[in-house]
Amino acid sequence: MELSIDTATDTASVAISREGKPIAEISWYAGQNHTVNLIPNALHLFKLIDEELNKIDAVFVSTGPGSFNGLRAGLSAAKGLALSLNIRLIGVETLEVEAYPYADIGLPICVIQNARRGEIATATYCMSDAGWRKLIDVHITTLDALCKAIDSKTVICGQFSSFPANQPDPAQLIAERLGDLAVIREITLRRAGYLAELGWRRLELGESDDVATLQPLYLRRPSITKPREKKR
Amino acid sequence: MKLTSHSYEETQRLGKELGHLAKPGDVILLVGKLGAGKTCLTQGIAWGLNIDGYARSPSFVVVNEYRGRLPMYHIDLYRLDNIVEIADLGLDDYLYGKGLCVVEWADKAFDILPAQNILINITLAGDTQRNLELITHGQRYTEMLTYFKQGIK
Repeated sequence: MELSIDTATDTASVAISREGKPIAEISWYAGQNHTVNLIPNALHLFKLIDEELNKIDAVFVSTGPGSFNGLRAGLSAAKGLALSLNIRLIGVETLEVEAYPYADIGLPICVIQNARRGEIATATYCMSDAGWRKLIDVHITTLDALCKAIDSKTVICGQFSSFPANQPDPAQLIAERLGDLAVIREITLRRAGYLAELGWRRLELGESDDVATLQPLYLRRPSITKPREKKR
Repeated sequence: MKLTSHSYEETQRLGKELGHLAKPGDVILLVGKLGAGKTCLTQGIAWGLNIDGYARSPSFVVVNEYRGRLPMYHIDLYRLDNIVEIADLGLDDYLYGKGLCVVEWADKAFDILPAQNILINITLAGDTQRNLELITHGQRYTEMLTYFKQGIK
């Protein structure tokens, strides 16, 4: 049995799975209260299926990009469990979790996320004969540059509601710019059941992450003009 | 815009007017020496957001969160000297969030704070007298200042 934890953005999700197949899941709008709701919701989920937390043998966690504080809450909980239960820990990119539900469309899946300061975080994944893989690694760009770079039919998905309300709606902008090239899918809640499937894939490949060194995926240090202070 | 406050209470009233005008995602940057009245102004802002009670200076906890008409994140950079350290705090979740951010000692970290903001410089001009200079960056704050001027008439 595995526990999947995703607190990467405004929305949070927890799932319990058996060999990567979800058997319980709860997803909710967490705002900035991940630390308050995460553990109670996880425990509630175990109660629902009459199971116990200490029976899990792996923990999967969404590593970002996303909210700084949300990621810390999720990573700390996952690491705490992995350490105390002495079980395997696997980090999965948040954008990969968002792309995975659209794998069966058979097109490249480009995920976008609001990275603030007028920029986006994006990555592209694809399910092909060779299996599930990443075509373009997670990076920071602008919506404008992304639209220019897309030249073949692509699924474009993301939590569009996380984009600032005072700016043009990203879905509308993409539709105008790319027309038939874009198959647009809005993600409301990101679901940890998909994280469970992706985590399980890596587990089956014999992979796992180091509890001591797994880090949230922070894409950008803010641009700082003042030189870095020398360590004393 | 420049104006003068003659008392603690007057500074609070100015803050209250700013609080009334605040919208989700707004950022107010405060600059001024110790005792200039940054926290006093913040207190007024909190009241303007219908937050009960008193805002305390979050010098040691860095961020205080209050719940009113909007959430107010009262951020104080006083204790922090190294901009890299400030950048590591993850303040973006607040600065680009759904509440109002009031940042004291904003001059310590202009580079990592939102470029669109209203900046308030407070300087001492006597025992209780304070000079306030309000500088806006961005359309939203120009608009805010226009309403502010009408509100304090």
